[in-house]
Amino acid sequence: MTDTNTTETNPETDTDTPDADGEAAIERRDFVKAVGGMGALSLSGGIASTLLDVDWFGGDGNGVGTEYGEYEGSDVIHTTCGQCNTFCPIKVRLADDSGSGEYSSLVRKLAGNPYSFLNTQPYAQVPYGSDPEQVATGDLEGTGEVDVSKWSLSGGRICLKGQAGIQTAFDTYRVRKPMKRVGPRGSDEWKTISWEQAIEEIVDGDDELGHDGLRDMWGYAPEDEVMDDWEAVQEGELSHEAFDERYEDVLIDTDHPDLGPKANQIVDVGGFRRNFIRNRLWHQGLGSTNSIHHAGTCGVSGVVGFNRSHDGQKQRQYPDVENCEYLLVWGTNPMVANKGPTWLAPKLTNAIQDGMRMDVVDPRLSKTAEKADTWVPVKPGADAALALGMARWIVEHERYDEEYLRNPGEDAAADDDEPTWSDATHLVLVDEDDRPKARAADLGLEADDPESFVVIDADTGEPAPADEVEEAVLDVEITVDGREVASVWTLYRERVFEYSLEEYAEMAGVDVDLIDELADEFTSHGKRAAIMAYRGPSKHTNGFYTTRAISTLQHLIGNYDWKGGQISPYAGYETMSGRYELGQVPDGHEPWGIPILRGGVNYEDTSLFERDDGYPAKRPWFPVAPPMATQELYGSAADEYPYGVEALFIRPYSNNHIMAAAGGDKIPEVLEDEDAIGLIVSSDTVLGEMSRYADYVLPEPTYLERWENFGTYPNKRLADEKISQPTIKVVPDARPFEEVLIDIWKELDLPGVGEDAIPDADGDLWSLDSSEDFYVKLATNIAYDREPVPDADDEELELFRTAREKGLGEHFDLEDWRGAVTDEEWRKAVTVLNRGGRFEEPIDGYEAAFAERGHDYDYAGRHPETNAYDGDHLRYQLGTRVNFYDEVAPTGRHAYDGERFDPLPRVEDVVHYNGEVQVPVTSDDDPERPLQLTNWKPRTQGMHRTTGSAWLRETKGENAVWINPADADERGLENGDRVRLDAGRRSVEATVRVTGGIRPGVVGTAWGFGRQGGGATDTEVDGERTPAATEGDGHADHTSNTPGEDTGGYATGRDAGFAVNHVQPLDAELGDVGLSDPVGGSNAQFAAYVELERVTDR
Amino acid sequence: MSADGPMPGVPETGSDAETYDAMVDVEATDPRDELAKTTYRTDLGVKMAEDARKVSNGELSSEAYWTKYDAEAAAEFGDAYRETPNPAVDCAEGTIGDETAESLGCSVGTMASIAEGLEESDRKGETDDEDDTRWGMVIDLQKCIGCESCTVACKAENRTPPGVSYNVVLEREEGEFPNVTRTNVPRPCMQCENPPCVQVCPVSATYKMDNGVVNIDYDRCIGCRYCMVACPYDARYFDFGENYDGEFTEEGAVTSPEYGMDRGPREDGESPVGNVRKCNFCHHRLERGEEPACVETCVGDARYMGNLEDTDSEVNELASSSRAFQLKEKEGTDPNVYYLK
Amino acid sequence: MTGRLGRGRLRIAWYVLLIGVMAVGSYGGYLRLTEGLQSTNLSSSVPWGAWIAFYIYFVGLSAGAFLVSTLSNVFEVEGMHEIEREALFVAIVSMIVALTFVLIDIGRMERLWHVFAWRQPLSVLSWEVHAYLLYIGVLAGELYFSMRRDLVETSDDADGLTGRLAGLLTLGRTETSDDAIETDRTWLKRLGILGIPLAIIFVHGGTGNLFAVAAAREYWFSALFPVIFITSAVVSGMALVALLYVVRARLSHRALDPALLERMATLLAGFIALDASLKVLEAFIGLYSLHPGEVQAWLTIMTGEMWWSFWIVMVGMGWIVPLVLLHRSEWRRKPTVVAAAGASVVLGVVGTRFNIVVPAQLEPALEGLSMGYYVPSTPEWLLSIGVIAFGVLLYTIGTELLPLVPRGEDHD
Repeated sequence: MTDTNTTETNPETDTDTPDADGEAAIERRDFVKAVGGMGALSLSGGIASTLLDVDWFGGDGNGVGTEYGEYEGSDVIHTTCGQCNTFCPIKVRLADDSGSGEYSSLVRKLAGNPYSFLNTQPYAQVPYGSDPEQVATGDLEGTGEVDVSKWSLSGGRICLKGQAGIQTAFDTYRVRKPMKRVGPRGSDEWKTISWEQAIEEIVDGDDELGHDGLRDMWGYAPEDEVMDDWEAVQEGELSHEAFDERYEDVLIDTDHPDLGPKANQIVDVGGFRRNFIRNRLWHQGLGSTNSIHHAGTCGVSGVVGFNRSHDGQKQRQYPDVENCEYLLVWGTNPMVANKGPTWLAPKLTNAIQDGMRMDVVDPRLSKTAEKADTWVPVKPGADAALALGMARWIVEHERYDEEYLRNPGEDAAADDDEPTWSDATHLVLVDEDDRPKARAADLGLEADDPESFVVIDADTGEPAPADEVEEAVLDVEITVDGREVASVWTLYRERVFEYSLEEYAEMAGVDVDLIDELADEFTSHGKRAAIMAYRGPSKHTNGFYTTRAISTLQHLIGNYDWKGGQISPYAGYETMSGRYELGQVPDGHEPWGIPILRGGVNYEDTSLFERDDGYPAKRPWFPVAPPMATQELYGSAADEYPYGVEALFIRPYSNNHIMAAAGGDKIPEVLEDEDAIGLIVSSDTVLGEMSRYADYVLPEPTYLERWENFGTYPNKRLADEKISQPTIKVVPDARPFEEVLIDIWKELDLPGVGEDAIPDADGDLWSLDSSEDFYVKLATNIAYDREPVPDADDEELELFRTAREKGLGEHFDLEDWRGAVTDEEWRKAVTVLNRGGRFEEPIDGYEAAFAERGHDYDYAGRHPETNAYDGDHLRYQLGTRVNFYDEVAPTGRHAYDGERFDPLPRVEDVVHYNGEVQVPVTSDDDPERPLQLTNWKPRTQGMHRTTGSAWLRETKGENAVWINPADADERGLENGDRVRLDAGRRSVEATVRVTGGIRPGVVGTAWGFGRQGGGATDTEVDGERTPAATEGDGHADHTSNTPGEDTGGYATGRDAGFAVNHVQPLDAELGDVGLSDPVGGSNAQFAAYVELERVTDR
Repeated sequence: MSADGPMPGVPETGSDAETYDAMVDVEATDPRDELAKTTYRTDLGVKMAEDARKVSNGELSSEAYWTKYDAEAAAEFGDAYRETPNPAVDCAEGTIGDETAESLGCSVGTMASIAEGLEESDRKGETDDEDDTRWGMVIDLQKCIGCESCTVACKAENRTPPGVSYNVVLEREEGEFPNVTRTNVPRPCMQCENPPCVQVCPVSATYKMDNGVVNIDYDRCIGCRYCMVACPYDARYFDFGENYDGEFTEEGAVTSPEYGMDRGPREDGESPVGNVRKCNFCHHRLERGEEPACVETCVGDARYMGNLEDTDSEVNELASSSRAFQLKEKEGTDPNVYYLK
Repeated sequence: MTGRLGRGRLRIAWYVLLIGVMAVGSYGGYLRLTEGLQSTNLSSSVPWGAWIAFYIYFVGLSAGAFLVSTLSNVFEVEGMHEIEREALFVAIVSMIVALTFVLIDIGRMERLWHVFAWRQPLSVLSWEVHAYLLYIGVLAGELYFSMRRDLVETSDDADGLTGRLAGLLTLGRTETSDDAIETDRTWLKRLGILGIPLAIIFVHGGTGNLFAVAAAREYWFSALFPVIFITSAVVSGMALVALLYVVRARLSHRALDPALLERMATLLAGFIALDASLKVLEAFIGLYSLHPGEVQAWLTIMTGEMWWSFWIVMVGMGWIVPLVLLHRSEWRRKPTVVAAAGASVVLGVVGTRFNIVVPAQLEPALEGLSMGYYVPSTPEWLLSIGVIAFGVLLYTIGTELLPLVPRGEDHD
């Protein structure tokens, strides 16, 4: 091609070879033609057709202002929510001063604490070093803009109960002054007294009410001293009389010194501040072993069962949600309850959307089951059948991780990159009564550690110490050195094969196909499958074994510490030691003696065994559980078994046992009996059910007004430590109970308080006179753990001061707080306090990364520099043996018949103390009424402590009874009908909710309603009557309360609904409390059988 | 075929192999020849090219490469080198660390900083032009767990009286045991584009603000409640003047500056008592840069708030996805609240 | 003489009764003032109740009465002249009562004036309020032109209050020449012609539109709605005028015109039949549509808490009783029967109005919201009765002071 036959030079074709030229030209011509009018096409299409509308809906800018309620860092204090036991870190935004009242400040709004990853899921928290002023005002680099990125991260998530905390603090029904009862216990008549009088009468007794004081009740002597003398009595070296004389003022019973000192008869009931009140004041100050928390009514069988299934500390079952491919949620409701929704729900909803499969085992369609791929409506109490059925399928189909199971010890596991190993190959001495695991010494083996477990080495076929073997044999049943031994695996297999799959399915009330599917799915994702379980399977008398069964499913796939598997990170920062040894009490007492709840002790090992002619024991003992079978306290006090209670101190927070224990309706009878318990002191925020029966009620600050250091559950990938601190003062006279106790302890001259009470790291002693003295030191310990936190700069110190002056007003004394630690430590303490605790950052160099990348990124999960993972493993690990076989259980005996407990998981009926069947699982007894009643945590209430919030009662007015349409039709019931619920010993009225979301033959309801305290009864104080808040809101004659429909926004009264624990069966043998799990210690709460009968239409 | 090949290839069709060949320039040139045509040092050029290949194979770090050649290249190529964009640095491929870049005396533009620059200029454009914001909410029904935290957060934020709840969550159950499904449908005010409530108000007390939020002028509203019967979503509530008096100390002391109006403590007979009220998308929070209380707290991570007009916004993307729908679309109200199926 | 005395005593008793009822009603008013709308059983799910029902009832009554008046002064139906002023005055009083109900119903009574300060071009209610004022003006004008001649005469004849008032009301036009009378008749007709579309399209059809445009409520959202509003308005207006005609004639011992009576009765029966058939048609369409909202509303109307208001009040008293009473021509000439039929209809239409206002609000707009519930509270009933008594009082005073019956026909 030359210039002559083109109008222009064509640079594009200059390089072409001549023969290609013609073809190229043709292509081009066609091409240009073919493209034709495309330009116009894409243009015309690109402009959206617009119609010019008249703007009919605009206004003239009236009714709009520019006051937006702006606030700054000094309007914010970070603390912890206490509306349920999840204890989320929160941001308290103080209100601008307004109105007048005795309170120091109003609260404008609560939100999640953006410094904490617990409340920013699925996003990342703000970097720990961020300036609180910038965080509060939303100016921090890396936080989002609302218009494009949805979240500005000036506040995190909290649930509805947390949102309503304002109404808990400002409840009209709060206790405002120390009060002393006027009428008999439970008469709801009070008079106010001064703090001085209250303390004096508690210490020295009171004639008016006719009770002794602590000074007279208390007595203590050290255990070794007493027991040496007792030994001497047995040996005949000391006369019994002399022993009596020496100890009658300090021992409960000189004939039974093993009951311990009289101090044990002073009992503390309180869920929290364990590290302060329980450890320091009760155990070491008073020398009493009896400081009890709520575990027996909460989850103790699960805790014990999980703990016994692992050698290291592991009380809970949680998945690594972000990387899990298959999650089996078992009898827990993480979208609503568990620990807790604010943290777990956003992780779960996002994981599900990202492809994780979740199945839910629950008798009813819970809010979590709503989101499940498959809902497995198991029969309540029969979870072990489902678990062992799955185990059978997995074993039969050889779907377990054999390589994992054949690792007998740490080294072998490490070679396979396994952080944990199991006891599957370990040998058991089956010829012994309590069938312990064999130790090297038992079988005459040479070993560095004669106590090491023994396995059969797969290489040599010979027995060898477990730690020295690479790979061991699973199936073993032989005789070694004259001893019959079998491997744990053999015993487990045998147990699992006890029933056929069909029998398991029949017991659990699910199809065989479904068991197949669950087991198949569970074993189809390698290590990326996990179970989350909690109260559902464990709150039965068979809860311990059921929990064990569920644990072993995970042993089969060895998913511990693996990314996407089962996680166990107890990751926090040091609270009790470091700069200050808060757990140490110079010259403190050592508590000893049989706990009143009889945990950790075998009946037959006590001096009572002989006294009471052996089995059956008068009341249950819990030899392999901690002494936390809380439900047993009141019956024990009434029976003085093993001894009586002289004084009972109650903080009902998490311990409102009248409402919380199955059969709690029997507790008032005991509390009313002044002979049973001489002195009852309650420290409460309102007159709760327990406080109504107290002699003295002392006003306690709510969680927004006091110090506390709540733990987080082991379900997180990073470390955190929360601190609660006073943010406002609503009731000027309220005093945190630990401060009251400090005053009482000083009166009694007990150790651990006052001068020289707390040693620091250098051994110097600090005094303990107020809550701050303890908690500011605790904050300092947190600050100095690992890499100490940065110092607060002057601006932060100023912000700290102004925020607290605003929130606490005259109740804040900067010097008091600052004086609790050294000047050098103070700045670090402020850093921790300004952030409401300490929260580990997901990566190193987080601040810079956050500023650049923003919060919308899973640093912990995706960033190569993550602090959460170490390759394919979690960074915080269990890293120990997991147990199919629990050799501790058989060391304990059932106190009724002396039977040993079972080392293996098993399927069992739900039974009474004397073995009578309550819920048949393996047996086929017919219950006396047709419908099994289960229950669950209220979505809209945090136990009973939130009833005072009208906002919450507006969302759900009462606890309707769910019933399947099939059962409803049979009884002619329609949604919203009122029914009589007959539970045999009692019957109550309730409203029914007809729903396909519950298993036929089972009915259920939310626990947490039917209050008789906390503003649900009339009270008289100083002759003035306060009526109960039982009316409910709404000016019209009619308010809507049809289950499944919106409530119209009006709250019911505080007494609405019915108390499900008051229709639970009583133990057939004891008659004064519900059923208990003899192994794990739980109060059984899903055990009633009922019938429903229509009363009226809605 | 490498997914990261240098040039797109033509789809293989087999029969067209010849044409395919014809289209591919198989001639490879000798780099030496190419460089020889230039006036520069051939050996340096070849050495640099060989090492460049090492860099691309990962045998040599780009830091090491540029440290090695920077001075030589500068000497050889002079000003031309300094002025020519250095692909390793200026292309911001991230192949070279900042320190090295500093030492080489060239600037580094990272992707993030470019994106940020773009975003900032976008952002500026918006704030200049108020009309550019139309607030919208997206609620993902797959994620909503029906917890009603939004409802209570709204009560706490807006301090509404008993019987007034700007947000409610409706529960719908379908199917028979055991194949039962439940859907939770949160219902704030839809801030309709064509709001029937505005249409019926006799005094224009309720109208659509420029940012898309339908406001209610509590000082103008006569309380006729016509807007309530007109709203197809039952999103409006009448303030009967009720209080939480008996239960909640000082509850009227805190009120919300709705629509930017701080009215002080709640008092009998003072507006908004006697007026109609509804969700206002937490206008006051949006104005101070915070998302609405219900979005901030949403425990299922199901609620999104943002500017529907901004094509970069999350709500814009979600609202235009095929999962998006509006409640009662056929009413023609065109809500600014979108739901995801 | 005895008649006089008897009437005097009856009159005092009547005033005492009205004042007494108003006193009782004022307790409702006191609660309304002190508690605001908390004194009602209204709620956010049922925001409109008895007072709105009475408001549209009286608007309907007014429009109906007005249309009856036009039979005489526009359509010049023979013999209706006698009841023309009565009808106009009833229309005015009804509007005053209707607007009083609006006033007590709104959340902020002190802001009623806002509707004249600010408007919304799309709001039916905004247009309505303006139409009401215009309409009341038209009614007053018509009444003026209709009465002027008699007012002039009265001011000449009578002394005392009646005379002085009549003098004032002539507005200074005291001409009684034929020309002047003719001018009056012309203007009367002009205003009547202006008033008809105003009454039909704006005042009453518009009030129907208030509901019909509420797309949110399927039960109201129909084109038939305004039409039905008008037919039942005419029914109630006609019934009331017929009733008053008989009662006042009895009280003043005037002779009744049987032909006029029968004409009114026939018209009334015809309108009732039309109204009933439209209602049945509407119910059929509603039920046939199978829209959950509509079906539910109809089920609620027929079988819900207020079933009696549909079956007994609306169907029974509004349709069946009057149709039975008026189906024979000789009965249609019996004043007692016609009055009874009229009274039955007047009460029956109250049921119609309740059934319009309340049921449509019961079914929630979205599935999952609570079902509404509404029965008026005691204060609502009390205040309603008080307001109605106030209207009756106005009417009574008007009949005493104004020449509502053409003078020539006064047999007293």
